[in-house]
Amino acid sequence: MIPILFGVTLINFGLMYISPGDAAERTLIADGARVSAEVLEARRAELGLNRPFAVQYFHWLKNLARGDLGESYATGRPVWAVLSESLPNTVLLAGSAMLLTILISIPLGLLAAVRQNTAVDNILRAGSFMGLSMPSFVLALVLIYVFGLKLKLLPVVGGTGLKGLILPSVTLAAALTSGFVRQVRAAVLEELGRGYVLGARARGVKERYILYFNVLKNALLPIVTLIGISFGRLLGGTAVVEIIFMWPGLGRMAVEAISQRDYPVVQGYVMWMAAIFVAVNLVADISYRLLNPRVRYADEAA
Amino acid sequence: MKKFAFLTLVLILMMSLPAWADKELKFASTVPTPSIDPANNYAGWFTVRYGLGETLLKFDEAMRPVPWLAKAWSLIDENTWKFELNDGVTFHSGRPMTAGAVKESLERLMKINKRAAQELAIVEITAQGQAVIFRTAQPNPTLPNYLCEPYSSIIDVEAAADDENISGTGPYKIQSFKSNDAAMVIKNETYWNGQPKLDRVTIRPIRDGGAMTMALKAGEVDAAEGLPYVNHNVFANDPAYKISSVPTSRVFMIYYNTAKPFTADQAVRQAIGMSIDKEAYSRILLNGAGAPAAGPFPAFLPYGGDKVQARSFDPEGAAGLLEAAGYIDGNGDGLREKDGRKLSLKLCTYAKRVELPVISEALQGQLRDLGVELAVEVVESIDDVLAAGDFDLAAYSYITTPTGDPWSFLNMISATDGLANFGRFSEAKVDALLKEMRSEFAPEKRVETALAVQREILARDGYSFVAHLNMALVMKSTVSGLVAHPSDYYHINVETDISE
Repeated sequence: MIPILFGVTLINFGLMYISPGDAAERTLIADGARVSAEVLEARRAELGLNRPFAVQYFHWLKNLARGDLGESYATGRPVWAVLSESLPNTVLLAGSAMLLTILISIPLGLLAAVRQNTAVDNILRAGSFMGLSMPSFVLALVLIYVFGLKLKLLPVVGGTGLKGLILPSVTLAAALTSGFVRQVRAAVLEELGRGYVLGARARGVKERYILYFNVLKNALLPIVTLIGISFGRLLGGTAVVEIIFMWPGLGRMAVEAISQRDYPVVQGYVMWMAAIFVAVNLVADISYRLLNPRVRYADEAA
Repeated sequence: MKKFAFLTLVLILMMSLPAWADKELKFASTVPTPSIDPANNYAGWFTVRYGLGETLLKFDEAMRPVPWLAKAWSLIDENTWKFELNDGVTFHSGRPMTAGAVKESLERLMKINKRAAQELAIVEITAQGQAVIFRTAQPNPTLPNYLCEPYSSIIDVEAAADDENISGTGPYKIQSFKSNDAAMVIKNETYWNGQPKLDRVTIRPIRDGGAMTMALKAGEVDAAEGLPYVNHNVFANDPAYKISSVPTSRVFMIYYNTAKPFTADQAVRQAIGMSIDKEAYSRILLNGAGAPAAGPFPAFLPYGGDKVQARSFDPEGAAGLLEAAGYIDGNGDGLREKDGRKLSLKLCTYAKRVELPVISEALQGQLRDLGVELAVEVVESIDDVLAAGDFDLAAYSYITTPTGDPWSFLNMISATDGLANFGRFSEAKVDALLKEMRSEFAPEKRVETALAVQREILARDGYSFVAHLNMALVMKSTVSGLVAHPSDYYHINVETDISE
């Protein structure tokens, strides 16, 4: 885990270093106004931006080792405070979108598999095709238009309450569900074709029992990985959806930080992302074994 | 029966209670701010926009400094200014705004904000009764202008003064604020200059133009700043809404690189200038949200508008000019050549101001008709490209008078050592005029010199100025006292109100 984090932060630091425009410029040259070169230089010196790359990076690493992520260039507040403000909102949105996805996609995926090549299956396939190809910003605006402006059921700008959570969750869940339904369908179909299903049927085990207790359990394995990866991605914040719905999460925070060239905040965000992905993969691996002990045997045989 | 009447009365009273007990305006802006501390970079814009802070002087409709927290000012000698403060002004903290408090506030500003320190160039502040005396290092005729710049907002430095909480003198005081997020301000009951009409104002950033339009349409927002121009049509013909629009000093302009072979030739620059159909660009490309520009300054300024003349739109005249200068299409490919070299130019611009690429492409088409090839490049970091001089033409957008004075912009683009003189424009006469203007105190003389410099620039075809952009506030028709100002600094004020 440590080498991964090290690599990720080094690459990110390097990219920010070579990208045109720095924090001093961004904060001092507002769109269309200018300041003198001396003022710029003074600000750079103050932020330590005039030092060589390696010095800046190791200075940052040294502070990190002491648990200090530094301070935001834009406000001077500690980075961890900025992050921890947006984090709960992102976790809430990610959790609710993921829950919605699971609740909808598993039953629908199962249905599509059982009714393979029937009208129901075809409708679900067409639906998920549309869901996958619809960009989230379009869906977000359509949802706002229909539910906020026309039906007046939900606020256009929801805030962070329950009412404000619904539309962004649905927007995020729509794309995820579309993908999940197809994955669940494929996984279930694969299991249905296996020998043990035939055996169970031959022994007269009820079809429902086979489906729910054998097939679904086995089919869940690849789905769990998918859930893990998707959840990790959601936890990184979803900039587009967060900006349209003005949801104060990590994605929006990161976009503001990037546009203000607020390096310490961007670095803190990247650290968080990397940590999340490593952690999520670990959890997914562990849950494999819990869900299916065969994984362990396979490992030991190899 | 009597009892019934009494009950009815009570009921009616109760029902009408919320209407007058709680008057709220919901304001939306496309730009979030990380801070409301006026000393933090450009956060002062929001200190003033939210009605929290005020400056010693403010700009009038023609961007001239007029009294605000200070009631009068005078120049004692060329390095000494005296500002007399209004009596009875208190901060939100309850502390009276004395000359000493003003001194502390501005000293804090100059310590934190390097840009302010350089622009104000004050070396010493003395408090003298209800007057403050400023001493400058060298003559600074634009000091009153810079005291209008929102960073100069006077705040109580003994009270909380950080990114999320300040104690100013404005009609509203901060209730809650989160960095890059929503703010709520509430009525300042002891405001010095009248009684604020609203109990509170909530200000929230809505980044997405589409979402903002729908929020305004759904009635969740009462007034909005920064609404995309293409969405103005939704509100322009609806009697439930009104638009307050005003020209600003934001200009779209063309840089010519005089260090490049073709653009070094004034005939080429002049021909390009004559090919820009500013009228059509403003009407069609800017969707009526802009006005054709002659020079860098808009018409409401004493040194702007048609007080200077640019080349008029004349494609045939442009063709004749190039013909006479020896640019002729010898090989019949539709493009002119001179000395065996094709008249092909590169224009660089950037996408952050969405209008610029559109204007550039329109120019590309018009130059094609003239027999000039123009390659348009939309670059990521335009300032690096400009500094490197790697362009023939560049389309750029500036706010030309953020502080109501023409010197700083003219000096920046046309002095030989100007900060943004990327096209290497250089005229000894212009340099001399700018130098003289720098320490000229008489306003009418400054106007005269500013006009002379502009005429010189335009006569040499050093730049082409295409259009000035309007700024607009879109609001429900029940909102009053909210008027777009050319400086874009003043939004919520003591008169701002909303009726039921």
